[in-house]
Amino acid sequence: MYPSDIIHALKESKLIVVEGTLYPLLTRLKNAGILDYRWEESKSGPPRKYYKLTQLGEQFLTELRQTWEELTNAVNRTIKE
Amino acid sequence: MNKTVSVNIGGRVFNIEESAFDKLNRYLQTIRSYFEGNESVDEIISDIELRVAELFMERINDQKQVITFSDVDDVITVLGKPEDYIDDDEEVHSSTKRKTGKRVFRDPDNKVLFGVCGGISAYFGWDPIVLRALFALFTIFYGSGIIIYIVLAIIIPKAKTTAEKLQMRGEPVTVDNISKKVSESFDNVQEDIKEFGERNKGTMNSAGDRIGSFISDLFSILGKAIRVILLVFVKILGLALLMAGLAGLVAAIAASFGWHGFMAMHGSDFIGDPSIANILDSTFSSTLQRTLFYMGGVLVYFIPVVAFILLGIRLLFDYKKIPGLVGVVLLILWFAGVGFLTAAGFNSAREFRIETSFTEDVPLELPTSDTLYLDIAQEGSTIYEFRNGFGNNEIYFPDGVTFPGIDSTNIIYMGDVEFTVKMNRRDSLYRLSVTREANGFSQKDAVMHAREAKTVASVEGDSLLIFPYFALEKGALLRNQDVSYELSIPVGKSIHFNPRSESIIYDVPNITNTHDRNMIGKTWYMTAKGLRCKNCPDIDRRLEEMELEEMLKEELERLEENREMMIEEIEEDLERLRDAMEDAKDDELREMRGVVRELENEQRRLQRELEREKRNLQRQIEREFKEFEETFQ
Repeated sequence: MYPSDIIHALKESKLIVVEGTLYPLLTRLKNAGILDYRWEESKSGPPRKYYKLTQLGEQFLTELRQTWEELTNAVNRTIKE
Repeated sequence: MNKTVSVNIGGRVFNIEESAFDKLNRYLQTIRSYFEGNESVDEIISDIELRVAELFMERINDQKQVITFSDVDDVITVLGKPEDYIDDDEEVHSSTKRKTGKRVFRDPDNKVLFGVCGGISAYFGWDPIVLRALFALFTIFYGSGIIIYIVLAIIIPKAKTTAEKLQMRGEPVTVDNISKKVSESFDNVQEDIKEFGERNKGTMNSAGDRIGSFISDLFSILGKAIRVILLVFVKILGLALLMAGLAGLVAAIAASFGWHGFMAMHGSDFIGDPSIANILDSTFSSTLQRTLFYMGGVLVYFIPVVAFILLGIRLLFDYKKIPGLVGVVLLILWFAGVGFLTAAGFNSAREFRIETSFTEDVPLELPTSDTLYLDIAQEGSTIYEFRNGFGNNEIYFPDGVTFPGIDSTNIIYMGDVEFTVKMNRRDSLYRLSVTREANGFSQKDAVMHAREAKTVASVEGDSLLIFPYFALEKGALLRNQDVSYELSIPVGKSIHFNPRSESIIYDVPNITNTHDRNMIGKTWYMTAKGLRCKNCPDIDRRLEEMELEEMLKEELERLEENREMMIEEIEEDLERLRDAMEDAKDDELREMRGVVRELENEQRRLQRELEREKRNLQRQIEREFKEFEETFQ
């Protein structure tokens, strides 16, 4: 994944507005071993950093998703009642 | 027309306007400062730079090759303000806190000399004029203001970047604030740049550039070295100030408890308990004066001590928490102290207005023998030693001597007593009188203070014993008291000065003009001319010498007079001769004039005669001519 694509996705879902927020975050996740990156040449500009989830990252994401679903279920149920 | 620079961002070269470059550079620097202390700061920055490069690529094409100010603005909008970079989950680094907090800088926009006062005032939010005035004021104290200023100018860095200027005021460093600040000073800067451009139209060559940069490097190295040296100097200064302050404190504590001989005033000595309280009690008559003086003294003394200690601590330990207001308050208190002292001084000065003295006979049975021995104590007297500011002194207390009407443990002050001698022309007895002096606000007051000086004199056989000090009791006031004895000696009687009496005899008149210290241990008899030494060949010889000297002087004067008279006579003769010469000249002139006049008269007479002769002759000729004509006809 390329950062500006991430930005784009986040912007669409109105989670984030400026790109600046992303870079420290990515670096931190990479340092934590959740992300990995590779350099790729670009036709129109400088080489780009493409990020990808590591195995550990996938695992973490699954956990997060699980937690998230539990949370949303709980919240939804609470709201309905 | 705008100047451009080329920069390498993310491995690509861009031509970018200078102002745009400045903005971008500041932006990146600010972001960097936010992540200061984070180990992956370089990585984050290079990621951002890569993104910037990418965004720039999108903005240039064949028609537009230069990155402009507005391009940079757009990019910053896309990337976000520096504060947006902060990750909420992440703990805020301590360094980030420091960077965003206030710091003291020198303010280059608000300066008179180096902007020290402006910067410090900006830090505290004061009006800089107050601080400047204070510095100017402190210059009075041995130029300490100037020294402190120089030290501060060196240790406080100058606010160079806009971010630093904002930090100086404590405003948050956001891009908005930066650009606001920049546009504020932009007009001025533009002027400066224009001017600089005009001056450097010829453009510098690269060698010149390099030399210039070398020189500026050199100066920055020198500056660093000087800063280090001055830092050491500042530490030493701080230590010295601290030590001085502490020493002052210790001295004050010691003095407040009092020790013997702490004070030595106009040749007299405090004995007993010379504590500050006692000195004050015996100097000032009213509680008001005492309180004013005491408060004034404490303020004037302790404020510099406290200031020294504070400044010392501050310089030594870089402790910057002492608020500047403390200085102002201390200064005001110090001046108040000076005011108190002045008030106490003026108030008590009135009590020294009148100076008076009075003499009375000492009611003592003086010896009737031919020689009186002067001493200050008998052999075997108890000797008390005490210290004063000038070293060790000894007091001879005659055995059993007490000051009349004073408990000896209640004495607060002792002053020197003087003794001298004069001739008694009235009768053939020794007579002793004492003269007391003192100041007061009135004649009566002064006499009262003079009477407070208690003295002791006694007669033992042929000896006159005079205690060398007069004493003031606790409760009496110090008013320049002075005591002197005068012994009248009739012609034919003598006085012997025992060695210890040297401390009291003062200017004893004698016919040999002998100094007091040479009169000691000798007997002196009163002659019709004055005191003369008995059995003193040395002094007698001196007297003969003096007499001879006198004679010679008289002879010399007589000769001088004669000489002057003779000179006068000669001058008179000379004058007379000159007059005579003048007269003679006049006579001769008159004679000659007479001759001339006679000659002129003679000439006129002769002329007249000649005329007459001529006429006679003419008439004769005419007559003869007629006769001749007649005879001829």
